[in-house]
Amino acid sequence: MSSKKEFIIMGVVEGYLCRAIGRCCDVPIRLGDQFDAVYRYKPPATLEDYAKEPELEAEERRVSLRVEAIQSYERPVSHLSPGMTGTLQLSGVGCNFLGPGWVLGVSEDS
Amino acid sequence: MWLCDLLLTRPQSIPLALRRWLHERCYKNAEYLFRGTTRGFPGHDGVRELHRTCTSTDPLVATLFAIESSRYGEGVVHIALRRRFRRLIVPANNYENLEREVAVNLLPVTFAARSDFTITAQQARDILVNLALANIPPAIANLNHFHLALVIRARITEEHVQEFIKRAIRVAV
Repeated sequence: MSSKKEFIIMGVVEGYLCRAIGRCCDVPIRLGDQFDAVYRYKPPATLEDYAKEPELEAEERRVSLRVEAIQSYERPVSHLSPGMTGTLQLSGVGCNFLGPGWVLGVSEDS
Repeated sequence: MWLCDLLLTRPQSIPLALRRWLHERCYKNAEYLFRGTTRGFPGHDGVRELHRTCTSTDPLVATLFAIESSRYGEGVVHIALRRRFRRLIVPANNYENLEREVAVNLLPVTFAARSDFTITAQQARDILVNLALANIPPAIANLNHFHLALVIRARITEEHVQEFIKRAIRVAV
């Protein structure tokens, strides 16, 4: 199981504060959390590869984004639990790097 | 027939063989909800706080959830008549299209207790593979791979859904 805080992005609405729609991975995401990397994983080549840990597809991009608000099922919430879908309202730098299929995360060296 | 109505209230109080017979007799081609999860899992605190159970009208989606949930215990697919929950259905979340999601205003354990049948992730996968639905991984190690499996999954037809239900009812214990 991955112990990294990650958010799989499905869609993005850009603005003064950008909003990313997606799914929380294995570590809960809370208000105030900071993300500093965006990356993609290689799609599994075979069905058996789904049982392995994912590998990065390309070099990660550096961002500095803070979770200002979280919404799920049309309600503001304090956190997203693993597997939950929702919308993160983010402030900071790097929203332009976000897009469907990308993963918002924390870099190894932070 | 009054026995058919009994299925709408307390399905699990009815012996399995009779439940199977009633489903085939009273609810042929009915709409069902499917939920893939870990057996006995009460739901994460975030979901419990929102008082929501995520289900799907697509058994393949539920099966992928069940396979992913097998990381934590026995992955299962709960199957329930949709009409039992019609007053409890609330707007779905952002992934309505991707997951064919139907959100139910119930705690996950309550939904599990009110479901009609439960089969294992392996049984659900075997049924779908036998229906010639490909690209269903036998195991999923993380949510990134799970998400990808959801995105690239085969499109299921209403005939597939009905056949899935028929076969799942037969193997449920």
